[in-house]
Amino acid sequence: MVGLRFQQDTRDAERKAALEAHDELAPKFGELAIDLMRHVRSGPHGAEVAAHFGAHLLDLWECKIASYDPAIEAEVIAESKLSNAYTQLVASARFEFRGETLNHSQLGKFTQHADREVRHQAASLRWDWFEENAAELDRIFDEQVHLRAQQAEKLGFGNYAELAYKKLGRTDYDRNDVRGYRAAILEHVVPLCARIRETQREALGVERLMAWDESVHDVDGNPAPSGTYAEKMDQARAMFDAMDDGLGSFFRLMESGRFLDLEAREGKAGGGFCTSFPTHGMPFVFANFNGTKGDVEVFTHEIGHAFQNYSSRDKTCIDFLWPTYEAAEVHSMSLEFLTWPHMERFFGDDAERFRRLHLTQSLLFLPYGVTVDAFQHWVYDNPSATPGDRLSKWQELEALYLPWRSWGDLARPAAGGMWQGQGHIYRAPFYYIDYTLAQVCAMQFLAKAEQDRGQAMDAYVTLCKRGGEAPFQDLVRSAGLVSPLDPGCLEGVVATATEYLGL
Amino acid sequence: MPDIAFARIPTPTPTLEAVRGRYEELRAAYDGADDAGARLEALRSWDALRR
Repeated sequence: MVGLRFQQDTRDAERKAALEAHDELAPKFGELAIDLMRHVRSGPHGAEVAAHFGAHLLDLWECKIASYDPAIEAEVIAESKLSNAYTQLVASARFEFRGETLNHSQLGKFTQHADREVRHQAASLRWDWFEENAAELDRIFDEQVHLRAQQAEKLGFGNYAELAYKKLGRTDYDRNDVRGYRAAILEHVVPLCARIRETQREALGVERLMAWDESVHDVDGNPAPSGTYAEKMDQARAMFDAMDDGLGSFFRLMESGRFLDLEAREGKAGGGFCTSFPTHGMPFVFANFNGTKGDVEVFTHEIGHAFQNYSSRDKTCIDFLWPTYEAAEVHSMSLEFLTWPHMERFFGDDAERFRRLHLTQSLLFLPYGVTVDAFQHWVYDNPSATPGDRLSKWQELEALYLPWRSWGDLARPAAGGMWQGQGHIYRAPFYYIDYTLAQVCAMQFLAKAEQDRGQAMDAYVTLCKRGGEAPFQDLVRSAGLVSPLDPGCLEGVVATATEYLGL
Repeated sequence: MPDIAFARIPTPTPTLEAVRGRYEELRAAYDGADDAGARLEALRSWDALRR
């Protein structure tokens, strides 16, 4: 609750103080919880607990036990403060643009503008801000890296990546599996994305596709949802009622209880997320609508998280209310695709253009996601690297996974600083490959829905109800999907997407 | 459908002392339980505390 309240108004000193007080106490509460987990797990009745709640619970507890010790409390608290400092710094940005005062989220709207010069101006403003704040952004991250490396060392891990995998509850795959997955993306997805970028360049009629062109796929600009906020909510309500499967009544409950905060405003933190209040069995969705198609994507995405959390609210233990992150993103990203037949409600005649763009950008996201992941593995394998080394590494990885990218006169990202706009790298280390793993699963849900919508929805709802009672690969296989970490999975997904897009 | 509103959810203000005290009670209940049912009941109460 205090975290949400801070994100709703980052300028409020009282809310910030409450969050800081929470950040001081949270490790101590965590310590008490882990102490009892260790006691139960290693005691004579561990098998009894596994038989009642499932063996996965003890595996999750083992991750928690291994990833915390009172010896790292000071580093955990200091790391949280630095994460909050990053959030506050980015949220404090103000841009005067085309007669408006905008924050980063609001400026983001213009990166999709049909006029190339407007896109370039918006991108220049954004990245100039990162250039001006580079020293502070470097300082925050450098301190975080050292604090995280210290935690890993104190807990006996070889490096922070090993600790992060434990913290993320990854019980059924390791960094070698992820390395293989990145290699499969490079082999099967990057060439397809290079073709998509070339098609995009031709469609835009430009000599060279620049970074500020990447969000726009034809000269008409991107489709945008029509209507006021209230009209969009009316359409959302009608959409979920039509989809049924419990989605309609769930959305009405979220609306009537005001568990939605969706519009951008002054002082509100950027981004979108879903959190929950497990005592009350209710989720909360936070977003920053800015008038672009992203509003619909973020909205359906976060409602997917919320619906899963609500569907599994009666699980026998709190550890199963949310799955691990990569599994949780399957619920959110899949709902983005499962709502496709209703996109006429938001985009009218542009709905098919939206659907094609959504799938196209989902594919394009995969190489970017693995770039973020490969970067983080390198950063924590090399914790004594300098800020300059990190910029060089990002440049190298961009050239490998995103070979079409041209930053032109945008000095900071051209120098390798693009990653500093990716908040996960500061606030949620190693939580990013999860989106790509889930995206591959979501594209499989799309393929299933194209064949048999009713069966796909049944599988989706059943998966939501399972919450986090099993590890990632068990969950996705139980829904009839192929694990993205399995050999051959990406070839199948790429073939389906290529066929849909006619590439 | 439950009648629930975000505005009615209080901001929790747990103190370390109160949480630690409750935790120690539940750990003692778990250790002192005579059978599996009582142990699971202690774990369920602990789960409620964590929520």
